[in-house]
Amino acid sequence: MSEIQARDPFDSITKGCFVILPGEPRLIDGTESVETLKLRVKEYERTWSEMKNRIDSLLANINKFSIESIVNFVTNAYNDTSNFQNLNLPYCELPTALVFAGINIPDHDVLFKQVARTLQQNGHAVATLRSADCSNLKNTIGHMIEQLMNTQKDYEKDEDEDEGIDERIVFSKRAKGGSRLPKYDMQLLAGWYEHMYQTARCNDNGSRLVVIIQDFECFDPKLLEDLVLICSEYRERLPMVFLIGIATTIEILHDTLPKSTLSLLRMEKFSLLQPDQCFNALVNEVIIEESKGIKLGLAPFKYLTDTYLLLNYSISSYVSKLQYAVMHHYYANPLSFLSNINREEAQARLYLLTDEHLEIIRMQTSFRKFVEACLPNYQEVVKLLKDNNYLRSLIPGFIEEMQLYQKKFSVAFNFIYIIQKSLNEPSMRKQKYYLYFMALQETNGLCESDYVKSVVLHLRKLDCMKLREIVIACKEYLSQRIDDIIELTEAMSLLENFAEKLSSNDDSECELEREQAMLSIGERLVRSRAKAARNKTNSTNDTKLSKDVVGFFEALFRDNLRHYSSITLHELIYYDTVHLLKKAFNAQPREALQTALGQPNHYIRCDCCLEDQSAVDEILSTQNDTCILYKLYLEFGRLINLYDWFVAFKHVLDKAGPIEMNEAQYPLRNRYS
Amino acid sequence: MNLYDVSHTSNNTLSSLPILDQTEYIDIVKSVQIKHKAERNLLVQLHQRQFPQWYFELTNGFNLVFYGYGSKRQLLTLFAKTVLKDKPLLVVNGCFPSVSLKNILANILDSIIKESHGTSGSVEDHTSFIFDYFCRADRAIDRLYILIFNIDGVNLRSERTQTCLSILASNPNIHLVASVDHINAGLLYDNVRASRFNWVWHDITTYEPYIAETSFENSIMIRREKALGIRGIEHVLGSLTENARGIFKILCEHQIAGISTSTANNDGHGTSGKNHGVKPEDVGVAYGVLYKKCREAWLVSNDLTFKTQLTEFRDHQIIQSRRMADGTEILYIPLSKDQLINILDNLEF
Repeated sequence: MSEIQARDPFDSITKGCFVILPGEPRLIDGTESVETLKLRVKEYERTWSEMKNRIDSLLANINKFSIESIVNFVTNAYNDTSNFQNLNLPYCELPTALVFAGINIPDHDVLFKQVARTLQQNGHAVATLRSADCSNLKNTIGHMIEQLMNTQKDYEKDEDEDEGIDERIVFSKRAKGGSRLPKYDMQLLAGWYEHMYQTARCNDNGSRLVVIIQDFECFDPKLLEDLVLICSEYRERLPMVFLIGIATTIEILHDTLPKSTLSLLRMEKFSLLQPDQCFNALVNEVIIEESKGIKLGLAPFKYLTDTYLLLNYSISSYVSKLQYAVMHHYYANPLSFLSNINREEAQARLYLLTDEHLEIIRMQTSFRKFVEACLPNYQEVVKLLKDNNYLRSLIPGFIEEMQLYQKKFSVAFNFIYIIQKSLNEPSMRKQKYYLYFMALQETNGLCESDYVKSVVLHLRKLDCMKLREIVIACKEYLSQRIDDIIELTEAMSLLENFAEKLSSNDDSECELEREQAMLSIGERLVRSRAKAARNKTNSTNDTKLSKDVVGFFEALFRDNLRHYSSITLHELIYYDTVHLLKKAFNAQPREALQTALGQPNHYIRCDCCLEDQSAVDEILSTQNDTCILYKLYLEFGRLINLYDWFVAFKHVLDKAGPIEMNEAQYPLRNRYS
Repeated sequence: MNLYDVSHTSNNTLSSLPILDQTEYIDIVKSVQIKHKAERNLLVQLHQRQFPQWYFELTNGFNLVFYGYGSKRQLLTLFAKTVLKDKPLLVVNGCFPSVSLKNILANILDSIIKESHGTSGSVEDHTSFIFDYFCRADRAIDRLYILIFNIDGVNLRSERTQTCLSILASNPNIHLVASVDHINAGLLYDNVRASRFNWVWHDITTYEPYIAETSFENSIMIRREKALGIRGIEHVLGSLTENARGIFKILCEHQIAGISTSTANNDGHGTSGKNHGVKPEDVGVAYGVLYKKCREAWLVSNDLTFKTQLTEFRDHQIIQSRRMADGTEILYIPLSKDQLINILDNLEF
């Protein structure tokens, strides 16, 4: 039927697949100067690789502790029972680590690979079993044996330090090819193991055979039962350790496996990648603290957070959305080659700024605000708007200012975080990402929000001891950052000052109490009277001091927690559109189809079918035939009589001029559902 | 749509409309003027402007999926031909009736990688071979583009196919561009697969007619000489009762077994190597035998119901019969082995 239309090259009635081999390389043509284009690409690559590295190392570190404990478990799995070996217990328990890896299965692959790698580096043989590869017992065990024997070989090869390697490879080859044992026979594994360790190294070298069952929930329980039974039979000869990955809860284990199997396992629980903890760390490191690269504005931040927390708990999809945002920023924003650089670099790049670039800068809302602020000075405004060179010279200043703002913001933001953590007020405690969300949301600045106001209020009510703790915590935090932000040296010295004063107050009080404890009752009475008098002066001192401290914090917050939109040219760094992200990751195909058919005007703005808003439902003969059919379809009831549908369609078309019944029939051919 | 009212059915039937034959139909379709041509072209031009963006997304590890009303073939073909020229490209027609995952993988292995590999093995093995190939450092082919029209096509909808495709797509050196048309296409992807595919969705409504996509469907308004295609048989089977489908299944399985054994015999004698030497009517089942089998399976209770069911199949030319020399009636399905397997896979019994 393809004779109907000029055929495209991939429309054939005999073939479904076509292979096209490459021709000449492709050329890019850009509308802006090639140099800036390249710069933007370079900047994107630099920024994203920096962010990606941070994310990767963060995720690796977050699990480091748990993975280490798993490795320890594996290494020590057979040590503590060695005392009982002589006892010849009537049962054999296989050491089993239950690994809770969070509900998001797509992230598990990476995670278990990491675990497997670490285990291998510690000299254990590892086999990872996935339900997809294990349809029956035969190929499960085959798979397991193959991997166990291979990993060890590979690892030994990497190490390249043992002279026994060759022999081993030969043995495993011989065992594979020469022996008559099928490849799923446990004898093979046992023989191999004995050969490798008992003869080669004589004593116990701590190497274990680790079997990772990655997606426990998807496995056939029957299969696992058999596997566990077989392995436990070989426990005497093979130091097997099971690692069971569980995405849900421990109940699933008891539901799926019978008692007889569970009793063969000696289980210990480990948890990896807790979604909350992981997400907090990620947001903190990459989005809040990161002073380089781009920042997310309110809408994208909210969108990303919501999809993570409400939809899938998937770190990988969070990261890919973040990547898309970064991509879009550098791809669509012509000014983006100015972000992520310091003052000197900016100075060097100024010559790249064409007049068009400067026009775009003038079009930014933040720049307009800046101009409006200068309004009393008429000359200045004219210069800003007319003199390109003047504007150019200002830009490095803007960039520097913005970077300073970000650093200060992050310090002040962390102060709030520290304070609210040490407040004795559960209702005030917020996660960091939520705090940040509030900071993005309050266009007047975070310090104007009710939350921060009440934090300050609570701060006022604190006694000196508590206040001292907070001040010291803040001081410690700032001292780590002070090299980076010289502008906050004054705040630092103030904090030190406060800390000193507060602690001296405390010290005197403590001394007093200690003294008192040693005195006799009579003396105590006399002294307490004196102390009451002293306390009075002390407490006025305290209130004054705490007032000072709170005042200091308040001022700091007011200065540094301004909203990002108040910063001139924040558009360079803040990515503030969410529309594209939503379209790319949460597309609505149904909506698009229905709009296309029901309201074609949304896509096709032609003169012939321009309709009034009031008569959206009217069916016009000039509309696309499929649109007419769709609208007619909507008018029908539960059942559609094809004949009637047809006639109605003809009727609509007749409005434009009578047509033949035959002609009206063609669209049915092109129906596609 | 008004779903809750009492529906008033009309007594009109399609038979009162004139039936077209093929040539007449083509003439008419050719003569129909295209509406909104200029606007449609504009729309396509607007989409074309995004080509660099799509390419940028592809190179950054995302895979693209396109939705929206209208055929996306031309636009995506243009995209592939103008932008994806630097690396080998595989184009797959998802709506093509006999396209299969095996087919796709074989094409990649034979025409692109061109490296020796075990020809036997399941599609999973092939998939992992390709995946590993594109992870290797010393590979001859740097990267690969795959363009799939209608990744939601009937033949690619199965769980297994989508899983394998998603594994391929998760390789950083394989770039997938696909289009979907089914309104519920999003339901194909569960959490795991969606994250492997790493889709970026794009709306490219074109209003182009679905000509290539529907050319494999049959219209009820065109006179045909040929029997129903696979799709037609599936439709008919879908509307029948479970028992009737059971009868079909028994015959189908017999025929498949028959074809395989006779092929094996032929191979053994070295007369002919291929199974197109076996005609469907040679491996049919005698009427009496089929009836007995169906009774045993509790699909029919008496001869009359069996006959009624058979008539239904005969009317749709799904089951045909011929007389042997001794007068016994042989029933058979006029399809090849592959087609039969395909139908069995797709139908739920």
